[in-house]
Amino acid sequence: MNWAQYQADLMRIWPEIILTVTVLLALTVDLLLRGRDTQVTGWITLLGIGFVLYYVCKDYALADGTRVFGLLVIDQFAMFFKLLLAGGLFVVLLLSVLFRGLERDGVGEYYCVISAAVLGAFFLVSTDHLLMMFLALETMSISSYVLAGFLKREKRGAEAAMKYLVFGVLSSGTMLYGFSLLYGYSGSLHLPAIGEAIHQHLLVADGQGLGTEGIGVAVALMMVLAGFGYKIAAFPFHFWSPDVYEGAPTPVTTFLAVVSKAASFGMLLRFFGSVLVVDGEITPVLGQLVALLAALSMTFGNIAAMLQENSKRLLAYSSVAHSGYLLMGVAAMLTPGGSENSQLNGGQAVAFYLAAYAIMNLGAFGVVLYLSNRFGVESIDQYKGLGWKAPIAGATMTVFLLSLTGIPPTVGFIGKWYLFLPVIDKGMIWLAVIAGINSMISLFYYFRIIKAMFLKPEEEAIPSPRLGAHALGIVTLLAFLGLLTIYFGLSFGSLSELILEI
Amino acid sequence: MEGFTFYFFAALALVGSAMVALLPRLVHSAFALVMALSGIAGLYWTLGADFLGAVQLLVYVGGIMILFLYGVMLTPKESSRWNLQSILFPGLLCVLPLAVLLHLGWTGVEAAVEFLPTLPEPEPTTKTMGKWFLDREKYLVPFELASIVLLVALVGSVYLARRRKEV
Repeated sequence: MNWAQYQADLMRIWPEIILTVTVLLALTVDLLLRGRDTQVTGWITLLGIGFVLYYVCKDYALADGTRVFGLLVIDQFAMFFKLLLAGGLFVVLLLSVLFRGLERDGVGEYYCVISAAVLGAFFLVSTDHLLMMFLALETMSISSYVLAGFLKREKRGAEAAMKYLVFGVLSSGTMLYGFSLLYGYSGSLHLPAIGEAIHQHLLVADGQGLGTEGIGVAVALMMVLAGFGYKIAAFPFHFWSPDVYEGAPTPVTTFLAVVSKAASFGMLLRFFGSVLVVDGEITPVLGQLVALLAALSMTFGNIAAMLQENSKRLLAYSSVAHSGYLLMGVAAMLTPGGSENSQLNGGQAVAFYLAAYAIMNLGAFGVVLYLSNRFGVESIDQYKGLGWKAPIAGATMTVFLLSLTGIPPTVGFIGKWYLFLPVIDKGMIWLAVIAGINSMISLFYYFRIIKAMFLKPEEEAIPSPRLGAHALGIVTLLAFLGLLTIYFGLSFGSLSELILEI
Repeated sequence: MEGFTFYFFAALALVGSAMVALLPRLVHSAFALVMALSGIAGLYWTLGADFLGAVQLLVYVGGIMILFLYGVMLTPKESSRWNLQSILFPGLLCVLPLAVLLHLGWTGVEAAVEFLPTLPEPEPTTKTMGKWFLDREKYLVPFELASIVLLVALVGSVYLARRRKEV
């Protein structure tokens, strides 16, 4: 065994190693404290993730596409997503530490499982091998099932976790079936090799349709797409998401909406980017279907969101709609044509929007968490007048919601603009029009929250503010995220430079 | 000799499956399933997939069957499992898929007779797999990650199943 090479490989996966140590440390510390403390474990986990973030930033420039341990690729794409995931987890952990509702009895398990989920996500975005991909996806999924049902005293939490598990297992199975078909047809588990095989002979249209093998491969790809659709909560596969978002503890909801979704989109981009795009040449099979899914997701998500009373449920449907917007970029990536000198491809636009989405959604859920911490409210009716009572939360919520709608000068606007560019470039004007109409619909229900918060006088607000010691921490975090939303909305150069490297 | 082992295990699997479907009592069906699954494990062995056969025995016969038996034990008894009327419609539904399957199987066998003698002799797989799991270039990282998955599943299920302490 070549020890030097071994060591060199290990040096490249520092973030993953530290994350693994954090997983084990959270469990051990909890055991040592005998589950009596709710804070220490959280802070230790935060420290671990801080180190992870440090190493990701430090190694960012070194990522040159080296292959490590045979199955992992350390490239700019992986590093960008790792930065996004670790940053997202950091905020989620801060929210968890400041959240009142977590059971004291399970904090050690909570921090252990949530870190393990991100460990899975890290491997997920940095592999191009189906076996590794599936295993990493399962690491993330199994952890998420546990997290969704973490509040055992709540009945809807248990129901949510059950639904999540049953849907999740079914979709994992479908995806795995697709993987095995792809392996059977191409003889490889390696994404570039599969892409090569598909491009060379499996999916070559010869004027007489696809042929037997072609149909098989197309079915396999659709099965994989269905599995992805579940993970990102796109339209016909979204049924779990409103219940889970509502039933899970708010930090976990944030985690699912931001970190889990970003990782799944990372995997989706990597998968279709290497299977259907070989050397810049696109095999035109799924583009139309993905475009259709995108249009359906955003329309359905936005219309359903208008009818919601609970803020977490509303954000769940809004997250379905945002999956639709993001799928637009994927559709553009999988559609051939377009001008030669377009600067930005669909995948890069998706990556940018994911970063924007992470910032504004972390913020929006942060406000929801703050209000439920301080006032014990979650439904939009009860939000009335709270904008005056909790001015910073109200103001930042306005910023986040405007950004989710896509109104300048916020990062959400830039993100949407970036998504529209490749879509229009590929000639899918109809999709862009639908997305535009949907943005207007979404303004309606986002504005309902703002209206409830500010257009009612303070006297109508819920009395008895339970002013916790944590209030200051959350408010600071919210203000920071709000400033970030506007900052990246005004000077998005640094962020888009990172994207263009992918 | 090889012919005999194949027919023996095939018969075991077939008779076992038929018994699963036809035996009147659920517990008996569950035990017949052991027979069917062992037959399939045997078939894997005759094909040279020794690791797969062992896993089949360990996981299905050893693990899943115990789960089944627990399930049978915990569900209330039912008097009669099926009568002709209740299975008529599902039975009719199964005819077409079964016919297609038999047809495909038969064409598969006919094709296999052609190229089977040209295949190399199957080799035991366990040793190779064991080496691959610890090979830096092959499957070392998934092997390690699998232990994290199992740890998380364990921790999660213990947390969800245990009674809440009063704090």
